[in-house]
Amino acid sequence: MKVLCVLATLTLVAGQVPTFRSTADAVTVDVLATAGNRPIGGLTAADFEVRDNGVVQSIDSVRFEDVPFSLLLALDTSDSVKGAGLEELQDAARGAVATVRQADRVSLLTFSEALGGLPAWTPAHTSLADAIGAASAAGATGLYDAAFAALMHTDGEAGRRHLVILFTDGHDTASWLPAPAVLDAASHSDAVVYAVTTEEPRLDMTLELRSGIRLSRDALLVDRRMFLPELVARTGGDLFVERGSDTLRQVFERIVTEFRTRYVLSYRPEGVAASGWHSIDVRLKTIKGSIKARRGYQR
Amino acid sequence: MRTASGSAKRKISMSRTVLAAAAILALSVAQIPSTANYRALVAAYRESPDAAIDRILAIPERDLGAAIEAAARPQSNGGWPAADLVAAAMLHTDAAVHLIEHPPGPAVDHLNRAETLADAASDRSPEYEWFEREWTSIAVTLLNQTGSVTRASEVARRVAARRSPGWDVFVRALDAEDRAVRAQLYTPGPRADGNMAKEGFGGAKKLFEEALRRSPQLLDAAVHLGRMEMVDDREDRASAAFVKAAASTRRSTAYLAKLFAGAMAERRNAFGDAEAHYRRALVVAPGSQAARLALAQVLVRTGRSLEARQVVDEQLQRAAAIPIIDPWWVYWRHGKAGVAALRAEIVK
Repeated sequence: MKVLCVLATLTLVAGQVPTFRSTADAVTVDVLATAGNRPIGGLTAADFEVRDNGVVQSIDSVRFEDVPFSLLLALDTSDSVKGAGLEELQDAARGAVATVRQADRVSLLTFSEALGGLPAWTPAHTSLADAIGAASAAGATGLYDAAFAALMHTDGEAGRRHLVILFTDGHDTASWLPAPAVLDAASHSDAVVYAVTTEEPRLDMTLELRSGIRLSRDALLVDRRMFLPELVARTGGDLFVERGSDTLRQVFERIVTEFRTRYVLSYRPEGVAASGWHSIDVRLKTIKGSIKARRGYQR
Repeated sequence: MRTASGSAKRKISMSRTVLAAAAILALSVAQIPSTANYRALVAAYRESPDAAIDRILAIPERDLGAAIEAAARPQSNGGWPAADLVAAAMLHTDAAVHLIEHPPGPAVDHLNRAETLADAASDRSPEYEWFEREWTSIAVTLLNQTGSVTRASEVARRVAARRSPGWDVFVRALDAEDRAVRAQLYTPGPRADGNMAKEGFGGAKKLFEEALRRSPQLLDAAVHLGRMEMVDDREDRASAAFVKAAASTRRSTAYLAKLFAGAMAERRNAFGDAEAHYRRALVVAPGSQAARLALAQVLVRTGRSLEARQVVDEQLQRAAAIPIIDPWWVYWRHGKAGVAALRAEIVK
């Protein structure tokens, strides 16, 4: 989903990268339609129903595959990844980079308690491969801080979709920001987060080494929601708990491939308040299947 | 590369690097023993540590004695202020680290110089006791690495005897805080004041209060006390502790106090105050990650997402160019954070 200040309708000019064109209040929603885990192709606006705060909206456009995207690889390089785990992660990152197309761009965010990487948005070229190869593992896990930074670090080039692949092998132990701050930021971001983890999600049971700040009086010291499932649900992405037969590289490549099969729906909200939280509900009208899309947006 | 951050430090803005390099080049070997030139070298270290370390290593150690003696004199007799003394102590410590990693060389002599300077700083101002305290734990490790085991024990004993009355209580309080926080478990239920039992916090808080009563200059204790009060939802007490700690001469203490104060303001929905606290924290420690993320987060909350993105991007650019040690990362490693963390307190 994108809340576009200056951009709205997608137009593809022959020989050029497709770009959005403007109206002030247009909303776009990044949607994955699947049947039996397989993406459904060939859908048009007539196949979707979009409700904004419960009010059915008129879909202006539906785009498929031809919108370039910017991929942020947000990779946990804390101490526990050291050794073979890091090598596998680096291989997976290279696999994701190899899967993007010429018009797509990539940026690298590594994190322990400290953020690092290659913040520039680049096509898949040597500097990116060098940065992936240079990653080393040490330190605690600032997962919330890194997820917040990943949501904020979006490619400034107009008309791009944003995909974040967020990998962690554990749970937050060292962030300054609390989980609700990240989940709130997700409501303001147009990035779709696919999280990959090697551990089954669980509630964070202790403060551990986190700051213990609460950013509102009604917030809880330890969030009751499981962080990664909540984050991917809010952004319309997915969660992969990777302990099975697939290699990490296969998972990363699959995410990039799947992201390309998503639809981008655009509409101008009508019959709803201009500001505040807008819930979004996307359904298939003409065919059976499942939808993944973000839950809403903040205005 | 001398320091852990050596290669990246070279990417610091050209003008700053050139100025620092010029200051160092201006010091000929013949001039070095003079107090003024030694002081210029220490000032250059705060801007560009690698070049200054190279320079100090090139000076015969025996030639430094008079300059160091002059620096350590009482201020009324031309001695240096405490802030400059601790910078000089770190310069010699870094020189010792280099010599230990690249033997042979007079590493122990440099540590002895550093000890003289750290002592003088602590004598000059009780507020700099923190430096001597943390430097000692590093020095003991380094001396042991050189094989000077007896000397290491001597340094540890001597500094222990000089510690302020509140120090031992402070150490016990840190342990109590650590145990209390780690022992808390998520408690299901709709508790509006947080959902942890927070048992055992009272004991740690009392110890921090006692440490501050015995040694009011021990403002690190005020940060930890404020955090425990914050977690315990005693907002007024927490804010008072952070205000007190924000006056610390220690960079990381002042930084953390402002950072926590910002979070307290956010809890009251005082977003303007929170933003101001975070920006002040960034003035104290310009490269720090937690303050910049906190600032970005409050910008998002106040509908300024575009600014928030710029703030995060700035942090990522900084992190890619210069290794950063955020004081928040060493909050739990009090006195055990190593040379790099202590250097981060000194080098700009």
